[in-house]
Amino acid sequence: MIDLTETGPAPFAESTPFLSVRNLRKQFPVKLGFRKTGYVSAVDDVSFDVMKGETLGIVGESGCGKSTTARLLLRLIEPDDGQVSFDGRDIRGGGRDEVRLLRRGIQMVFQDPYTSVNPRMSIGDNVAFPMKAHGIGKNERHERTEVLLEQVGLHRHHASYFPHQMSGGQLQRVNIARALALQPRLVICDEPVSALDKSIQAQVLNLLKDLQEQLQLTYLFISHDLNVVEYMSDHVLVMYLGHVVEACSSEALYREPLHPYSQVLLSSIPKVDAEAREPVASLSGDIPSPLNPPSGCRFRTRCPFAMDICAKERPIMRQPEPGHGVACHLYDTVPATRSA
Amino acid sequence: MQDTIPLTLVPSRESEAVVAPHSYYDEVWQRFRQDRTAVVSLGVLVLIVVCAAAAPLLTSHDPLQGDIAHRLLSIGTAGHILGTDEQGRDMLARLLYGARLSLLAGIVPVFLATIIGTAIGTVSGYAGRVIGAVLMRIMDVCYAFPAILLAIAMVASLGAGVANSILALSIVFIPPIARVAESATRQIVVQEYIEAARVSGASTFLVIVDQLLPNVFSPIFVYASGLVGLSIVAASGLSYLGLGAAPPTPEWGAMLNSLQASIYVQPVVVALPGFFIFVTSVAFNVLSNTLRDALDVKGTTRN
Amino acid sequence: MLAVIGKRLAMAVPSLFGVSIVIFLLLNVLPGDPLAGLLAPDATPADRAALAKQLGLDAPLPVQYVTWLTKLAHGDLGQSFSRQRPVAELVGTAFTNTLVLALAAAALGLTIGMTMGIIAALRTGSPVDQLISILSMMGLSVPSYWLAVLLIIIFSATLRWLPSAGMHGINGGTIDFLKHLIMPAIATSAVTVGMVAKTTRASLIETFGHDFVLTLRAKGLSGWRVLEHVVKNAAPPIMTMAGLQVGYLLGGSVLVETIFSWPGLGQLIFQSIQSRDLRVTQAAVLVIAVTFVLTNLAVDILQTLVNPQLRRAG
Repeated sequence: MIDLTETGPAPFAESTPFLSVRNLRKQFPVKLGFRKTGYVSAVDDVSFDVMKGETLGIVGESGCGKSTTARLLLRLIEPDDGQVSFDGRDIRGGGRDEVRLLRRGIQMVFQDPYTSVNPRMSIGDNVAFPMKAHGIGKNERHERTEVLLEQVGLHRHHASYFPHQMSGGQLQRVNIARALALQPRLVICDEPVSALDKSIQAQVLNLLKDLQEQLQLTYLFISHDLNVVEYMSDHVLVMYLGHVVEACSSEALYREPLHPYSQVLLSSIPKVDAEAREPVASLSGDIPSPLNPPSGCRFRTRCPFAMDICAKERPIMRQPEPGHGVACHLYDTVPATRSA
Repeated sequence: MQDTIPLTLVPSRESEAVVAPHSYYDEVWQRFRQDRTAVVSLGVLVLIVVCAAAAPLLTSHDPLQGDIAHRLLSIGTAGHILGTDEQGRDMLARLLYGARLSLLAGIVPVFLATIIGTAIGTVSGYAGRVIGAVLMRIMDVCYAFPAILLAIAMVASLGAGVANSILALSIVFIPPIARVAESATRQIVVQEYIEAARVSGASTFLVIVDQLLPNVFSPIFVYASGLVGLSIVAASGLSYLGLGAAPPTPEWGAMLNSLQASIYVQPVVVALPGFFIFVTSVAFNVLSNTLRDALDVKGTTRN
Repeated sequence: MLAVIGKRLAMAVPSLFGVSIVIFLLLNVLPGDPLAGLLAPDATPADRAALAKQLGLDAPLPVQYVTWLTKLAHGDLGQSFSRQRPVAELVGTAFTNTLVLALAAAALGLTIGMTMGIIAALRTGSPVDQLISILSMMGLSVPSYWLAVLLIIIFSATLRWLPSAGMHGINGGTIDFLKHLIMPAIATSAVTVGMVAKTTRASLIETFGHDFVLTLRAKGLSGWRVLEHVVKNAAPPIMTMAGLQVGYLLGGSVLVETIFSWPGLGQLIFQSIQSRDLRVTQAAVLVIAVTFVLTNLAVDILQTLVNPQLRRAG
């Protein structure tokens, strides 16, 4: 049962969003032998909008549901509940062909360059595979692959190379070229640089930015690294244990995070202008088990400001400032965002 | 590791091909070549196959036509370099022609079982859950039989003959190959490139054939190559028991059987067919061992 | 620990059922004729039908299976048609003989194999190690029936030391019995020697690489005492191998027994196939398969008792 008053549209909705997600929910059964012993609620009541051509960053610790969200959008996992519309089309439901069509429009760049490129295929075959899957002829595949390789800053000769002959940074470019092969309009980047050396991270991030401008791409950028998200994103979603706790523009989040969790996250990253931000208590304790999440606000067990109400009620998304949503009882005086 | 690729979209000198592109299998071949025993074994096998294929060119004797007057001649007799058998047929001719059926009856079952076992194993490993579990339990039951015994029992029911011997051995080899394929598949399906292939919208069939198979091929191939030696020994064994190739047909196992009565007369000639079975089997096993190292496959042992 | 053993026992039950189904199907579903060999050559279709009815072969397959299994549970394996004796009796006698041969081969294979494996592991990379690995490769590859023929050529035909056939049980005296036993045992054990030598070598080398060996050496223990510890730690995989080999030796006996006329299950299977006495074939194969499953089970349980890590894991 979804209580629509509890969640609303993403606060930064301006016009018709390119990708619109409402009340997305996914639970994984936990099995012990053949018995189901419970559920892990990986994504719970997640809603957001992404505008065409912009980048939405999703940030959070591992296990917060950000990667599951990406996989739900691609229908690699079927969601339990919720609506997703992409470019005005409802992409929930629909058979195999619908999913195939969807996948031409949404592609993904994976985290680990070493395991996301098939080691037994040449670089060219790796990049061309999505085109092969969609029945594009051999000659066209070949030509497009060369163009793609050069687009991501590799040389067309690299097509005949094999993954073990390439560096991590080069492989991540291959990964990006493959994601672009079907000319998608939305690219989900799942921790695209976290497996790379710091020196190479910037190169790959800049490449992604250049490509976005050239090809008018929309990005969903997932990372645990706040600096990277700040650099890449127009808007940011902060997730904690499957819930969205804060949603706002990237600039607003880094200027003035509202949720205690966001504040702690931001205070823990090294900054050049350290005095600009007041020190907030660091996170105490571990993330609670998602198998048995805390009642009410899921962050309350680690929150420095936890109150009685936090254990009883799940906080509603409110907008203390226009376009800046936060789900926390500290802002209960602000009127709730109303659902559409 | 330094990423030498500059950010400009125009490739610079550095990014141009410096090393010749070489695939994983080029490297495997490099490693394989280092092992002298394996190269010799490969040579022996190629020689046996070529001799079997070119049998009519290598001997003018008819493998089926005997001369009772010249039976059981010893090795080195003029005109019959490897002697004659109990019916006076030329041993060299029979061994050469016999190689055809012996190799066929040994290799074909492994080939068939590899195709079927790989299909079962990859589907089980990829689909997982119910289908996989059911298929693998069936495979486990077949595992409860010593392989040769199951083959013997099956041919006993089906009736003697080369075709039935091939069929029985194929069935016997499917479960172990399916197991190897399944466990290899399980390790590969969790890799991100399989997920990437699914994201691209490829059908399950294409994902399995294009993305999965090349990666599970090595352990299966190593295992199957190890089975060939066993299979050749088993197939000849079935013929030796009278369950495979029938007498006048030259086949190493059947030849050993019909010669056995002459063991006190011409022991060296009697030992010849078995010697060829042995050499072929050793050669295949050496090859398989080296392949295991060259392909860097761990933890798959025969039986 | 009892729970773990209980679980292993429970896991053997479906295996045994599976085995019985496979063997039942082998006889009843494959396109062989179950009545072949039971009927006179000039039998009419009516005779066939009558015999089928008498043997219960006209009932639906599941019913036939249950009937067969019930009889089996009572030790009733039916009557051999070619020998006019109860199948259980034939199989029982043969089983004892096969067991003797398999145990002799196992003892031989384990002793030689382990010795070779230990020597190779202590002299890794030396010519001795290379020789041993060549020998074990040959042991693994040699067709047992050809080895048997070679042994006969050498020890019976040429040297005339050992009899090539004609084992008549223990009646002829222990020496005579052993003379009959030695060649079949060697021929059967070749694969075991190769397998055990290879496993022992690998397991020992792996254990030598462990930290505790270095600690023992640092403590000043003599080479032999260190080896003792290493062998103790390297034992589990060797034990598993040994246990499995007993099962394979039972199964691999058909050819060797036939060559040496050793009156065991293997020879019985061969003879029953020739006389198309499928009921005997079925029973003999069943006995071997069941022994095989039980041996594996025993190895599993023994492992649990010996290895404290497995004891805890469920």
